[in-house]
Amino acid sequence: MSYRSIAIMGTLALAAAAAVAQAPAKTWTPSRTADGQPDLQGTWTNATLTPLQRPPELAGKEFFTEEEQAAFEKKRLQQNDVESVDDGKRGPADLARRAYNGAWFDRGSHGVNTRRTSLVVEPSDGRIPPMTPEGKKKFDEAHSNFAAHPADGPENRPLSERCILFPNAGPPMLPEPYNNNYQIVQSPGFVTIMAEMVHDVRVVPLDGRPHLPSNIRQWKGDSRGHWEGNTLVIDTTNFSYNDKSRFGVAYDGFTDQNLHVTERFTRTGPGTITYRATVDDPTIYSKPWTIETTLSKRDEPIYEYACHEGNYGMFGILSGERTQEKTAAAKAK
Amino acid sequence: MRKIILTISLLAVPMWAHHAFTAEFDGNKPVKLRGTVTKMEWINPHAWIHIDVKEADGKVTNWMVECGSPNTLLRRGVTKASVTAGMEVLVDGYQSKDGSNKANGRDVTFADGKKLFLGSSNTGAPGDTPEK
Repeated sequence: MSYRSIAIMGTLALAAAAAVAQAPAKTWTPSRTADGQPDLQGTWTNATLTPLQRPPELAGKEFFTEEEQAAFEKKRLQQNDVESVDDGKRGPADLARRAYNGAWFDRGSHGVNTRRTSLVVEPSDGRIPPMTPEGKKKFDEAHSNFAAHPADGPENRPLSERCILFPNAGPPMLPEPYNNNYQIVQSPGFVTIMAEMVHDVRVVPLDGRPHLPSNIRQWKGDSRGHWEGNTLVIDTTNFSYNDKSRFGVAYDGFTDQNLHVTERFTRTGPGTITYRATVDDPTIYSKPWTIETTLSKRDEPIYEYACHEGNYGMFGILSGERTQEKTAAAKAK
Repeated sequence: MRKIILTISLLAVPMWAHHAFTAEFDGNKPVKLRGTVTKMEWINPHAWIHIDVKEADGKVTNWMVECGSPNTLLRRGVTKASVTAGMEVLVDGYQSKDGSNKANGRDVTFADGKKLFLGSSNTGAPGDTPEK
């Protein structure tokens, strides 16, 4: 072999290596709406088996292998199915966990496609950071108030039971045990996000207008959006303060009026949007935290969720509490 | 790794979970009801099945049984035709705390032993497939 051919081969090898190194990650360019926005429109779901926070047993493990993820999904499906964990012992302690079989729910059957072990991606331990002393104090007060007054009236109950706000709507938009469906509609100058639960709609202006005055507070806050390349960035402030959690079944956490959420929606393929949301509430959390999940296309319509229509549950909870009070009073006599 | 995965405990249910089952139903009152469907209410946030239950002395009592969200049921293929008046069902659940004839329908089984709500969340429903 001549020097020349070795040199050619060497050059080719280097070129090949460079090509591998520089090969762009698989990219996908979204189509545009009539007014030129990257197209996010459609019906989407964020149902996932991946937990919000990394389970302590998986400390230090940020990603599953494909095989590990499959085993994890199988285990989660079994855990979600009360039939398979029913050991015949039934009682009050079991009620919250096993009151309904798994078919009531729609948590999906897979973890996130990045194979991360938690939806929390920052901090890198996959856990929501500790509360500040002030945040912990507010959190503890809220819990003791709730324990002392679980159902004096509807105002004592969580926002979701009152049909006011579900964590699905967010922001941040977090998956719940069912109805994790969204519809995104774009019109010139606006992106509108509707959560099936509880048909909560955010109309997000893109024209750079300032946030509402700070004295105007809303359950879903006040959202303003802009595009950074193909990524929709939504900045939300002006949240209402209530001493109940806005995070639902995944986490008892707490936020106050200083909550600031930054969301990023990036269409990564015909059937996927990567969703990231950073939660920053300096009064409550020692540092910001970020979740990442996938919105997958769902070829189904959104159904109505008229939560107030037949909310017999609230009636049942309040009348149950009154019955217990009467029983306790009768015993005391 | 497999061993680690299999030891993951059931996640605790936070105090503020939606629809606090323990606030509405009494864990000390598990009920098994055999009855005839009189109607099904397809309403949110939860559907309700009404059944006539014949007691030992022949007296008939109407019970209301709470089901899942109609949206989820529809996506699982449960329709108005699935539960109709006159069908016999067996309900396994817990009675309401206020002592009225209401229960949650943990399991609803037909006379032929077939369960109305299959006990698995792995539905294979559209949208339930991961995007790669």
